[in-house]
Amino acid sequence: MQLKTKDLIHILPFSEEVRTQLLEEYESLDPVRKDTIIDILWDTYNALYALKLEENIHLALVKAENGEEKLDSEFYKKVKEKTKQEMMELNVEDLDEGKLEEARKAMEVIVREIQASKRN
Amino acid sequence: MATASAEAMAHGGGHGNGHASSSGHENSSGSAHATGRTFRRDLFLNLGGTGREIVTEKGPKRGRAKESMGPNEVQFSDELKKEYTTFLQRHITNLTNLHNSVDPAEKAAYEQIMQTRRLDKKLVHLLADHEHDLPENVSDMQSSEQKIAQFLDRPEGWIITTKLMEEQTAMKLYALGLRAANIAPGERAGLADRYTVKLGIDQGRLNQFYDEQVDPNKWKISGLLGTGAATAIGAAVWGAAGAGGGFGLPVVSYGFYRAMRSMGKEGMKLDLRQCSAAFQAIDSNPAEKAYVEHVMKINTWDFGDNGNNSIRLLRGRVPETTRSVHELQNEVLQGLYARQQFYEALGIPRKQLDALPEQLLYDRMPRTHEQTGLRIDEQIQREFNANGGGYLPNDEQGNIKRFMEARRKVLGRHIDRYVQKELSRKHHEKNPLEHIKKLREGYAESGAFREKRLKQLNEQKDAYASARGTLDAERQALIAYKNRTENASSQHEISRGNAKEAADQIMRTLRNPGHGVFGTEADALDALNAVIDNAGVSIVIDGKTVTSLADRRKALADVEDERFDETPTGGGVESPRQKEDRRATWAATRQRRIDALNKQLDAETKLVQDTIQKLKNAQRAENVALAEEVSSTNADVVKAGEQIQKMEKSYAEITSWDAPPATQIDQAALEGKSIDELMNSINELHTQDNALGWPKAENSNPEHRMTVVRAMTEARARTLHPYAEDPGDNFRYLTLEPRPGAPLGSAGWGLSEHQLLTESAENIQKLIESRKDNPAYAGALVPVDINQIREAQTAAEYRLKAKISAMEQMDTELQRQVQIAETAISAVSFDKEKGLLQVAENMITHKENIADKVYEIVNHPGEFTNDNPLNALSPDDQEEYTEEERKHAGYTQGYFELLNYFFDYKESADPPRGEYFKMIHEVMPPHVLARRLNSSLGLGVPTPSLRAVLPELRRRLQSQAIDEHELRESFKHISEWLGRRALALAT
Repeated sequence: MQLKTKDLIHILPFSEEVRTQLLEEYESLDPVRKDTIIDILWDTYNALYALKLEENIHLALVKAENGEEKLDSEFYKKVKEKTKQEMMELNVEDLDEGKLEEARKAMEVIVREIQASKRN
Repeated sequence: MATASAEAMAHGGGHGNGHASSSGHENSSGSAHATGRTFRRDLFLNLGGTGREIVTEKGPKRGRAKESMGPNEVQFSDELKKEYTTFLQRHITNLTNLHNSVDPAEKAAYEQIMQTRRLDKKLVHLLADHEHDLPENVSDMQSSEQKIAQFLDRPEGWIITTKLMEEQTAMKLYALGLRAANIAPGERAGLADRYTVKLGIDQGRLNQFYDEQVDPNKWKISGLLGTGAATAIGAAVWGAAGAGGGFGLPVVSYGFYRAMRSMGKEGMKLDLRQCSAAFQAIDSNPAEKAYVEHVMKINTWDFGDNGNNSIRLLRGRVPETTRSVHELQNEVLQGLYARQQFYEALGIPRKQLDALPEQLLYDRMPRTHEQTGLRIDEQIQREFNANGGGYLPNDEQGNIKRFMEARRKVLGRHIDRYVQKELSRKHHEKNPLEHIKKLREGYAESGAFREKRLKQLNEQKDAYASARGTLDAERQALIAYKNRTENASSQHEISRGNAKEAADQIMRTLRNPGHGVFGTEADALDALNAVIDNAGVSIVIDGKTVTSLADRRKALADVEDERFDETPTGGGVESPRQKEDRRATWAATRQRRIDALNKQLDAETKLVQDTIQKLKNAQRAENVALAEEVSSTNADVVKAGEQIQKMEKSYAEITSWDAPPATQIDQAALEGKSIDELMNSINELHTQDNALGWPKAENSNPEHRMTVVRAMTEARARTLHPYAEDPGDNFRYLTLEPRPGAPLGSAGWGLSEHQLLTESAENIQKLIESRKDNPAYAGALVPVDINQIREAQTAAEYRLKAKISAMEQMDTELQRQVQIAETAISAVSFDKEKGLLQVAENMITHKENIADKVYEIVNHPGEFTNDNPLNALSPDDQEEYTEEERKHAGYTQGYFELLNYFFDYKESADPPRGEYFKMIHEVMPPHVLARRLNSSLGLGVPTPSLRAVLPELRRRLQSQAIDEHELRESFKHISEWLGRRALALAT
């Protein structure tokens, strides 16, 4: 699947209320607020991706130590593919406390931005 | 409003605002005011969950003003902050040195570390200035003072640094096959065996330790460890790090040393033991082994483990030096002390602390974790116990490895959390797009920036015009003076010539009767005076013979003395009437004679006296007193002298500023640089040494500007004629001030330059002759033949001419600067700025499109990384490009495709495609795009031209080493970089 910016609203662990609000308002946002929201969406996604990638590399290295995974030129490629796949299926349960905390903060920012844009 | 509060808390800083606060507290000694970083204590400690009571010991011993600190506040001293800052700078520098190295082995080591130690990758990302942060001409990555300061402004920064310091300290010890344990009074005491090597941290040792900072060669680790094996280990440590590097905490400051002394007084004992397991934890893991080799410069390849806690130097290995062993040992000690101070500030009793958190892993130690109460320590312990399996009996090496891994993992999470918090903070700041829009308004025709720029340019023009006016007035005055000196000289000659002629003329009218004309004016004067005073002499004046006036006065007196003769003429008798008649006749005759004599005497006396006077006058005019005449106090002369001195003084002042060669302002700089360039150099010098020059804010001071202009003028004069720089010895001998009793040659004749310019050589020579026997001039060399005087006069003349010509040159230069400023004023367009703002705004507003279309590049890498030039296309295909694009037919096709990807310029109608391309090209030419891609994607192309970068990018895309995720991040970096460039226009 080819990931698009708007897809992140579906992927990232937002509450349904926030998700719906974001999707409704997204196209009509003024350029400045939209740019802010795009940044938040991608920054959050990238941060979660980096954490998950690191976790998957660690797991794959453990497997490699046990002879269950080959440490060849395909190693990182496979881990990255797996990570991307998992990112598409991201849900709140996957996140530890720290990650969830950050995602929630990002959500708060987004909601505030949207509310602010409505007020203006 | 709950969100604002939550945000403040989330940022985790002191006093609810997300930042540390500074406060000044006087320490107990009262000798200094310490400022420290104050945070909320519960951000570090789990005050209720450790199971151990945290006893606050901070305050009195270190002199903190405890009463001003709340119970939930912690303050780290500036000393400690300095130590932490230095540690981070050195750690990051050790990593970036590898990145910047030209040695392929070091570059490879860097890549390996970035892959295997994601902790360091994150730290480098966080705390270094990367290529995209640096100016265009700087490619080296380097630790960022600003980012480190910002990092230590947050509690997370302190926590992460402490744990990193512990990790690095432990690794250094392990790499040397050592482990550390402190023996404190209490449950941790009791270690002592034949392998224990006491460092003996007591008062005496601490004093010695401090002394060693001054003379590092005095103290070797071998002397302390005292065994062959230990000596061998010590000897294996490499030499000093490369430029800017180091291995941790390099030099302990005095304040820190005092803290260490305080620890020693309380009797803490720190032991180092040889430890096979610790050594193996590093040596058996290639990644760890390479890390300590390249980052800490500890080479474990030279050693072997004999087992039973004995490490040996391998046969044939030659240790290079023991000097840095001392350095390493200092680092270890300082690392241990720094953490101790950190915990002490948090109020954790020393007896609850181990030397390092690993202490529980070693043989015969209590199996409880160090009780710091730190939240992060609890997380590490959980990670170690739960996921890492915790402490396992008979697996000392495994325990060490698992503990290190657990700590790194938790540290990584903390760094991520910090980054996320900073991101949230960033999002709360104003959006760059908004700023850019405002800047575009400012740069519009009637915008504030335009007005500001016009004001600046007008001020600049006025400053040049004003300087030109001042210099021109000085030049005109000097020209007038030069004319005056020339006229003065001729006037003196004319009046002297006239006087001589007048004297000659008088002399021609005088004759010595019987001898003809007089030989000298003095003879004539003598004769004239003699005619007045002496008897029997005479002189011819203008054809009239004047006999002795003395004789004539006597003759007159004789007549006046004559008496009437009573006897009648012829002896007859005369009547009284006849007698009276005869008396009257006699008296009248006598009176006529007296009158005649008087008249003649008066006339001739006057003639003689007038002749004397005329001759004397002529003589005086001819022999006018030279010194009186030339030591003019005329205001114009004085002013001219001062102007010449101002030029020379300005030149001497500026060229005397002692600066490194690169910034020295010398003759060449004064001649070759513009006024503004020189001003900048002077400002730069001032920042290096504020006794020199002046700050930039004072550049508008007209006096400063004239100092530069005069120095520049003097420099030009010196090039115009060598005499302007060195007028020669003859000039010096004549113009040096006289000094009675001075050694011969060290003083002069005290003539002014003005005298040299206004008097004849002959007269100067006469003057010197007249002073020759005067003791006041005893130190002056007697020059001086007439030619030497003439040479000195020539020097004075050329000096004056050179200075006037130089002023004319400077006048032209200032006029040119005024014209440049006028041209700049009339040409203020801001096209460049507006272009940058437009391009930056467009890329940012295309952000979504750029992120979403990234698969086009991933799926068709060949199209976007095509390194063939545009002119390799068929003529028909080239026709599809606009004329503006075809001007750059040598550019790679990939360049045009990437620009179109970022900006969609090919479809642009407003501005039209060609015009839009031109605008983008000015902002992001191929070499700039190449550098951005190379750095943001970590392509590692040494000379990043687009022709070299595109094939490497293609290779990585095709091998999927780079995917859409990396591309998105790279393009985001490029967009942010453009945004930063645009925002920089605000300053």
